[in-house]
Amino acid sequence: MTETIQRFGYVGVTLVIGSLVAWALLLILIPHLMLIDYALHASPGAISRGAPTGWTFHSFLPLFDPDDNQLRSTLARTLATTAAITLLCLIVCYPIAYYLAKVATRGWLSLLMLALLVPFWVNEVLRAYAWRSLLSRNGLINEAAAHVGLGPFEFFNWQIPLIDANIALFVGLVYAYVLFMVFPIFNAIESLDRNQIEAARDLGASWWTIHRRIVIPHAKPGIASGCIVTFMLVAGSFIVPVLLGGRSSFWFTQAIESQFSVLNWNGGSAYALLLELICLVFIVVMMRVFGVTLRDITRS
Amino acid sequence: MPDRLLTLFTRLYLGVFFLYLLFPLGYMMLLAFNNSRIPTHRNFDPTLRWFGEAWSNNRMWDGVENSLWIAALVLLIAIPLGLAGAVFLTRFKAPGKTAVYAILISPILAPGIVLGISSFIFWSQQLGFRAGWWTAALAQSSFIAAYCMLIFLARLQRFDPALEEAALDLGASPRQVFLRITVPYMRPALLSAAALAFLQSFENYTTTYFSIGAQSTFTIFIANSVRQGVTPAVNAVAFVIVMATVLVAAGYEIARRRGERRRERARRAAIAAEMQEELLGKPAAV
Repeated sequence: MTETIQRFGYVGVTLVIGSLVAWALLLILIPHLMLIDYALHASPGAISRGAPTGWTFHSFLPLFDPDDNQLRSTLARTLATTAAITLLCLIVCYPIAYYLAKVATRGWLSLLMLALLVPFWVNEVLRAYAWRSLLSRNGLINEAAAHVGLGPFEFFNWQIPLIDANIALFVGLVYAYVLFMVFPIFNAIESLDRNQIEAARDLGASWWTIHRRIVIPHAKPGIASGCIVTFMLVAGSFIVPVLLGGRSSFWFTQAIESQFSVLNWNGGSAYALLLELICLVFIVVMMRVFGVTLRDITRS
Repeated sequence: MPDRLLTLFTRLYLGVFFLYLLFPLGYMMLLAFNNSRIPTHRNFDPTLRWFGEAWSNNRMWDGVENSLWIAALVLLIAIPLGLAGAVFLTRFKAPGKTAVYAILISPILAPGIVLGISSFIFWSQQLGFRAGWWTAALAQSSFIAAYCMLIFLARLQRFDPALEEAALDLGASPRQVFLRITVPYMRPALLSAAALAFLQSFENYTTTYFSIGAQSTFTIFIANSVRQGVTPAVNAVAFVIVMATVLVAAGYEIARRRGERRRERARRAAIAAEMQEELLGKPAAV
């Protein structure tokens, strides 16, 4: 520490440590402790109806209500859809990322990167809105379908079996967050030495073996990072389900918001905390499965 | 699989993927030019009236103003914090760096709705500040500062500390070293962090919506217009945003390639000079 003080001076060290303490406490830790505190108390309304005043799991009870499974099915739909979308994005993006990182020529790469960056920087509200007009009754897709004698399709009420979300929401969520899968995998594959691929090919490895034994192991941190971020963004998405969800695809974030709209801060905090815990579990599981550290993940 | 077939399949796949990415944006932009009460391509009757209507909407300009103020506050908070974090993690000899890193980076991996709600509860409900610019800026800064820190970390890790040590040995104060050596070296990273922080702040919806109370921003204005049933004025706004994004992204890409070419030329010139020196035994003329 004396070495650090010599190097930066007392003022410098105080400024750096002071900023970090303020950042960690005021922007991250205390707000989170507050959220936990709110989640572990019953709302004033519930207390007036006889709920305990101290720390309690009362705000989580709607999840376990035996007579009303609406919240449980909302959570189940959100998680099933999110898992399906994360997996689909991974499968769709891996070839794209590999192509951009190792196959594309320089000129093509610039052009394609541009084509990726533009939708990436247009915000999620407009990305969802674009699909809303495209899939509406008067939209282009229904008109094209009508031309070949099909439809009209009710994309906003057409539930996908198993995951129970409507098709418009599914397509819109993939569209809004797919690029968060491309960039981490691209960065990871780009750092792979092309000679390794060439050597494997010269030694007679098939393209499938090359990917299974060389490219995918090297891209692990990028794959883990892409899956974690995509999962978190899809599960935590609010405006996309609002714009594309229709009547039947209520999203868990909408359940959080509905608590806030009736000024039940405790209920909203409890649901928000649950969402965060689920994302945390997903992160830990992914890190274990892929054997990567937090630094590997944030680097790509 | 024969190579020709593989190439054909790859091209087809790329084509479909990029069509999926770009077509919806193009369709949304096209609808801005149709003279119809609702956004549709049917009975296309070209007009520019929606651009005029969008321009004269005062609520949109209020939103833009709020967004700009919030972004300015975020820059003021997030850039110094990110820099302090990066300096601490690369330069300080201190214990517990892994834990500090994990805490500071955690907001990037948390859902935006949670960041917004926890900030709102702490600053507005608990401390009694009125929800608005400040609460939104603080909520956004919690994760934008971490992005800035990652940018600074990447650059600082490639920095040779010997430069700073030499300056110190020659009698410079830590302050002078920071302002005359570290900051100039960090300039490109500072610029990209500022650009990223501004964009992240300006575009953010979820965290802002849950922390700003009754106020609005540009992005919230767009979301509300879409929710309340739209006229193609929203598409006109979208057209402008997408065009601006294309210009900025293209400018960025051109600058990047130019920088790459400049570095390549400098490298070749250095090699040429070295060869001349070796072959002719004298420094090359500059």
